[in-house]
Order: sequence, then structure tokens, then C-alpha cells
Amino acid sequence: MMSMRRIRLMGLLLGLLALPAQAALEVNVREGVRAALPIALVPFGGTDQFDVSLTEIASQDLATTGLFKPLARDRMLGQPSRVEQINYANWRTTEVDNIVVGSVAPDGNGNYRITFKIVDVYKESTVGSYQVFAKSNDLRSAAHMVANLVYEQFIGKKGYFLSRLAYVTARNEGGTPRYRLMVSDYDGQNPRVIQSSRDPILSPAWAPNGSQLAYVAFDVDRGRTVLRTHDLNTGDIREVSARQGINGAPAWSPDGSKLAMTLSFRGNPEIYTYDLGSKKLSQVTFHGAIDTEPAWSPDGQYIVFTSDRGGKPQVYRMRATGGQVERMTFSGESNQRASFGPDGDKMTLVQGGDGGFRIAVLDLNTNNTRIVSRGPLDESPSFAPNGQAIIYAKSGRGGANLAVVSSDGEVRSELAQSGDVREPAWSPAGY
Amino acid sequence: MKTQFATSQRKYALRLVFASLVIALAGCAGNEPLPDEPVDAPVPQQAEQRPASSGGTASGPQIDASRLNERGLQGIPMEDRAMFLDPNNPLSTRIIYFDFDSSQIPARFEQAITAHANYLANHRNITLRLEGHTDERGTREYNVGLGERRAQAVERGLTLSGAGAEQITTLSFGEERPAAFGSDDSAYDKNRRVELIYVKR
Repeated sequence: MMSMRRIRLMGLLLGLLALPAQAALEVNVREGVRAALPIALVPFGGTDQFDVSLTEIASQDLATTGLFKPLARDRMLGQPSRVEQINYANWRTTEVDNIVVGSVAPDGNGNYRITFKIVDVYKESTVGSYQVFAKSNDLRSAAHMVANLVYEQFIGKKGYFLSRLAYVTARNEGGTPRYRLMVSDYDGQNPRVIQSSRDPILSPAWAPNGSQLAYVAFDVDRGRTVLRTHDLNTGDIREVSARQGINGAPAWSPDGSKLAMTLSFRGNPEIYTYDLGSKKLSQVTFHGAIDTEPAWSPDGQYIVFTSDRGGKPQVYRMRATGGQVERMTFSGESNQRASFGPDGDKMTLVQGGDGGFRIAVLDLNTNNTRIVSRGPLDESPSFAPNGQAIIYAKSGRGGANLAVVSSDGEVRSELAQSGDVREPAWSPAGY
Repeated sequence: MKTQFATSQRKYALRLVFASLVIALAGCAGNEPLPDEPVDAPVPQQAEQRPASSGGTASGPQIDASRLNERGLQGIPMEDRAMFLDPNNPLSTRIIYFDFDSSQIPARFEQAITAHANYLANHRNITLRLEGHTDERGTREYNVGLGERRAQAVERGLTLSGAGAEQITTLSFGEERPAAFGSDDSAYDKNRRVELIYVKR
């Protein structure tokens, strides 16, 4: 039993060593100005490295939100794994309000059971008790589960640490461009190539169930673009549209039954909705301007989109079935590529103006627009599934990379990778 | 959008065609009046003043310019290629440049458009792909729209001058394939373009 376990742990450690070699994006918290909750995630009892890595990954998850300030391991006073082992007087001197203690044990089926408690060191009382099950080869998911539970306990919203990212990388490989559609964990770990092409790949969009992506693949030899759906579980690829001209900007309806998209086969770029079941295509904008970048409201009732019908590109809204169009954006010179937060009360978009192109959050209740990035060439903002953070692409020296900012603009982190990483799309829930 | 008519009689008829083309493309971007451009302007006009961004690099692999000639003439019979490579022949102009956020064809390209239209009119079996491109400013899909509209503007110019609509297709790359790297006006000027690609049947 013990030797089996050791072999498994060896495999796990080898897996960990192999991780950074590939394409690991790394989170670096750059700044966080608001009060963060001091907390200590004490390495879980049980055994070895597994536990240390687990609480360190969970600590990093919490730290990147800016809402928590996890205590560094070398500053911890003791390593209790059970409540009875906590020396409260000692822990109170470390300036943490809460500590997390727990242990990992084999569950008898080759996997692990992780039990932990959040303990208030001032009240000397347990705030919450939890149990999660982890596959032996999936340490990171186990850590993200722990972080999700701690996050939800204090913030009152679901954590997003089990969500994923889709993004596109572009590289010059021996003089030939190489585009890759990628999916990774939310923190850039475990990157996986979904599609690879020498022609551009654009606009990945998650289906609401998180098991499919829609995207645009160029097919330059045949002089066309193809809008596809790609099932991440089965690898099944379906061609949705390969008409003359643009087949672009896919956006899934919240119920997953339709795709909104931009097509230009009738001449001008217009927005259409396509019913994936009945295969019925409906044109919903009719204007000589560029109409593109559709996004659905969370209730599925409205579509917002970018149009330059008023001169500069701005964001407009209409019923998802078409009809009357209402302009939504009035600040800055231009506003583009809006998408809704999960509650439908906020949109994130790209605003153009004196500062270049920056990410903004438009509060639909107050109509206030808040700039949350610094530009000058930021784009492709995408809300975290709980709406508390936004990932976007920023251009800089050496290509584009990804950055995360809290939705209030206060906390920033970066996911750095060599090469050109663009068009991040944050997956739905995943918890 | 204001459109300035050239006073030169020689150019007047063609200008009319281009004016109607611009009007036909209702909602044409670039709501600021464009400068009246001299017909023989040797370099692309400065884009309208926009927030200058410094230090960044354009994203995306660069296309090899030397391969453009080869690729763009695949559909042209060998005996005709010399015309397209002769710098004194308007057919040698196979890239049309545009102003910022504009899909209006600058007047200095009228002669080239006419030459290509005539060639297509006289060679009905030859097909042309118009590849639309933008600079990196603005969002990717909006730029796909803008590149498409630029390609369509060139298509309109060609068909109004005699090319058959069935001879022409469009493909917009948006900002995905810059001709020049860099986040400055000189790179941007080279990137806002439509490339005329004679494709093999």
C-alpha cells in the first residue's frame, strides 16, 4: 500500500517538474491596493511534498484575487494539521485572522480525501469544515477546490479557480507563422493545444456548458474563413459557416441553443443568429455600417454589438430577435467588443481615446464607465465566471500577453508567456 | 462624409465613379473629412491623428513581402507576368493603401484600379482575391469588418470599371497579418491595405 502510494507520488512529482517546460503562463501579482484578508494556509498533514504544494497553490489562487493576503510558509509558527494542535496565542502574533488546517489521506480507491477547517485565531472557533476528494494525479485541481471553498466562505461568491481559459497563440516557427488555439487552467497551467494552423485562428468563444468552443479558422489556400464549433471532450469539429466573406465573432446564447455571428455574404457585415438545432439562420441587423462583435445578455433577451453606424465604433443593444437599436456607450471616443458579466448589470468593453485602447467596465445601473487597464493597446476583455475579475490581452514589447484585473480596477496580475498570446476567453463556471 | 471632386477634366469621370462608390458604402467609417489628396501622392497619407502608442510591437507573424509577388500572380499566365512586374505599368500596383478607419480608395490608386479592371474585363477566366487588412488599433473582429469593407470598396471599384463580379472574391484578415511590424504611424500606414491576389483556378 505504502509503496504503491510512493510510486504515485513520484509520478506526481515528475509531472510537476515537467509543468513549467511547456507553455506555463505565470501569475505575478503586480499590485493590490485595498485591504486584503490576512490568512495562513498551513501545509496539510499527511505526507510529503503533496501537501506543501497543495496549500501553496491554493494560497497563490487566493493571493491573485487581491482579496486575501496569505502568510508565507517560512513565517508560520508551527504546522498544526488539527484544531487541537493550534497554539492560538502564537498565531495571533503573526497578524493573521484565520488559519486553514487540514490533512490528506488515501481514500482507499487510489485517490485522496482532503479534510480541512478554517479557524478564527481570535475567537478560537471553527469558521467552516470541509472535505474534498482529489485524484492522485490532479494536485492542482485539489488545491483549486480548497481555494474555492475558502474564497466562498469569506467573499460570499463562488471562486473561479477551477475555471479555464481559451486563448490563441501566434508564433513564428522557422519563418512560418503558427497559430494555436489553446485551453488551460485559469492560471495558465496545464495548457493544451486544441487546434493548430499556419493560418490565423480568431475569436474563441465558450459554450455555456464549458464543453465546446466556437472559433474562426482561416483557410487561406481556399480563400475563406470557417466558423466552427469544437467539442473539447470528443474532438468533434462542426462547420457552422464558411460563406463568402466574413464568418466571424461567434457568441453562444446563454442556453447554448444558438450562435450569434457576423457574416458578410450578403454584402455588408451584419449580425445573424443561427439555431444549432434547426440550423435556421436569421439576420438581426440591417445597416450599411459594420455591425459585429455580438454578445448576449445573461437572460438571452438582448444582443449587444459593435457598430460604426454613428461614425466611430460604439456599442449598441437590440432584442436578440432584432428590431430597434439603442446606443449604449457615450464616453470615450470609441467603444467596442462589449460582453456582459454574469449578473447582467455590468459590461466590459474596449474603449478608445486619448489613452489608446483600454479595458472599461460599464455599470448598467449607474451608466458609469470605469477604465480598469492602462493601454495603449488592450483588447479582448472577458469576465471571470463570478464577475469579480477580467482577463484581457495587452500588447507590449515581444508581443501580446494576458493580464487579469479585478472588476473594480484595483488589483492586477499578469500571465506571462514568451510569444504572442491573445484573445483570452474565460470559461463558464467549472465548479 | 465629404467627398471632394477633382477639378481635372481628365479625372472627372473616374472620380464620379469613386464618389458613387463611397456613397454606396453608406456608413463608411472615418467621420472626419479626409484631406484632399493629390492624385500622384507618392506615399500613403498620414492617418488621422490618433493616440500614439509607443514601444509596443505589432502582434502576429509578418508576411514575407518577397513572396507576395509570387503568390499574387499565380493566376496570371506567364506571358502576361512581365506587365505586372513592370514598375511603369499601373498593373504593378497591387496593394491599395487606406487612411485610418476609412474604406475610401485614395485617388492615387484610380489608375491602378482601372488597369486591373481592364485586365479582368479582357480575361474573363482569370480570378482575383482581394485581401483586406487593417492596422492593429481597435478590436480584432471590428478590424475584420473594416478589412472586408476595404476589400469590398476595391471590388466595387473594379466591377464599376468593367471587371465581372464573378471574377472577384474577398477575404479580410483584419489586423492578423501586418505588412510591417511596429506600433507607429509608418507601420500603420503600410498595414491598412488591400492586396490584389490573382489566384490560380
